[in-house]
Amino acid sequence: MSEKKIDKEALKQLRQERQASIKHAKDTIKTQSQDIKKIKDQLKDGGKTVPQIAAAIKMPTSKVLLYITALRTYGVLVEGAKEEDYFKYELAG
Amino acid sequence: MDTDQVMKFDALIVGGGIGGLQTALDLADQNFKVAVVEKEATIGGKMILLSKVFPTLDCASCITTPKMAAAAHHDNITLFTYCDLKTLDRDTDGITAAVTQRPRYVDPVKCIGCRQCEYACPVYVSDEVQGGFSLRKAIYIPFSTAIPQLALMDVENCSLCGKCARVCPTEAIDYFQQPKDFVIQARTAILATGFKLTPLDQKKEYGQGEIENVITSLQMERLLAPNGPYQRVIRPSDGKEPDSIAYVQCAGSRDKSLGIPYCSRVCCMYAIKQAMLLSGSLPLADITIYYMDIRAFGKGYEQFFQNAKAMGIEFVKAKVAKITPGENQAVTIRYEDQEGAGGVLTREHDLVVLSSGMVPDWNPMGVCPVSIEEDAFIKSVMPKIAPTLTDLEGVFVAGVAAGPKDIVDTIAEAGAAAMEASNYLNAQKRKQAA
Repeated sequence: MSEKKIDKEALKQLRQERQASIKHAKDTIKTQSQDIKKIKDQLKDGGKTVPQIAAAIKMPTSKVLLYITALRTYGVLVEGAKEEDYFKYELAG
Repeated sequence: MDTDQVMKFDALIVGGGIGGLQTALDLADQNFKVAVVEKEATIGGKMILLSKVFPTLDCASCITTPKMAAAAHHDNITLFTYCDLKTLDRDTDGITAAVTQRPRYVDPVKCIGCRQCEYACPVYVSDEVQGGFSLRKAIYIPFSTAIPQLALMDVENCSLCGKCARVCPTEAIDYFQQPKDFVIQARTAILATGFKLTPLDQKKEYGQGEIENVITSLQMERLLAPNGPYQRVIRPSDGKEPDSIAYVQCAGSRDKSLGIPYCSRVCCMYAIKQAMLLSGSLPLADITIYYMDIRAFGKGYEQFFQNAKAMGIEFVKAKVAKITPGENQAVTIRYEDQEGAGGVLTREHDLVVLSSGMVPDWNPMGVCPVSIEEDAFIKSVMPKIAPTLTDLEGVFVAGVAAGPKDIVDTIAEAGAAAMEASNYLNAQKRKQAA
């Protein structure tokens, strides 16, 4: 159903019922958006490996890889050339 | 909730994995009307998540996907996905099952599986289908070959921002969807409820899931699968291509301390299979399998094991005592060498795979009055001559629900369960006609 057609009162009530999970989701979005922006900023000047990105933005390597994997799934990043034991990741397009 | 809806079938299959689908197809081809109740949002079970199968190294999804599609398009099969089986009882009229359809928050009639909602959603959530190595969205389709191709919303992680509803071309998003109860009446039922792996955090000595580069065998299946999270094998802690990979056998089986004294029967072979696949994808990597004894019992399995040795995979007869974090995100294994010079040794590997065991994925207690064995798998009353018979008349069991077994045996047993159910249904018909 389009948002226009959704009963505004019912939606308001639903937001009230799901208050805790909505707050959690909004906090998550905020953190994730900041993290993703940091990663994408690092790749503006060309591809980097996970340890290179992690060192630059002071984020654990496993967390950087998790974001990179998701961003590749949704077409934001692509895999680039290999540098020693690691692959570089680049912005798509 | 609407509790009035009653649907009638000849057979009810509980579980839409490879065993349940094979049983459903075999019965449906004999013109019986079949209902398949699956708790996940898609059919396909564990097999659709595997890379390749042993000992033929056939692509797992190339076998599973046609069966999934055949079941979905069969005139005699009705799929009920994302459903909970509340009760399954038997009386003089047959089987009565109470089922709850969990809400997807997406209208299944309107959704066209275009994934525009998924791309618009701003929340990333751990993707269990990809072994937790990637993130999905709060509204998502489980994977590209999921059946049915319907989105579902994870309301625990939804911010109710409305983006999904705004982009949906068919107005399928329904934030107000409620669980729906319904009843299935059938003349027979087949339990094909499958397995889950022993949890990674179960064993203190193996790091309890806290060591980043210690993963389960199913997680390795995802790394090896062409549609896996990285589309290649890299280390989940930092993306390094591993130079050294180890398998720890019997990591969740044959271990009384875990309450799992039995052999899970598939771990030796899947470890060998994965080792061979890794040899192909990482030709320069050292691959070691730490084992107690190799159980290669099926047709072609011993040759498969010998081929793995000939490929240079190292088999170390040892019991691994402890796994700890090593230097530079490596993993240290401490083991007792039972051949060679003997003694307690330590080695480092970039990535360690625990060959986890199989435990049942469903406990019938309180749901269905069918008995289970001491090991918690469903009890077969005639394990030698009719292994699909349970102690509840008209209710049969197939696949790993009755005990650990590989895909070959699961499919064979699913066929046997279908035959027993078919005989039962035909005998009932004859009785009624007499």
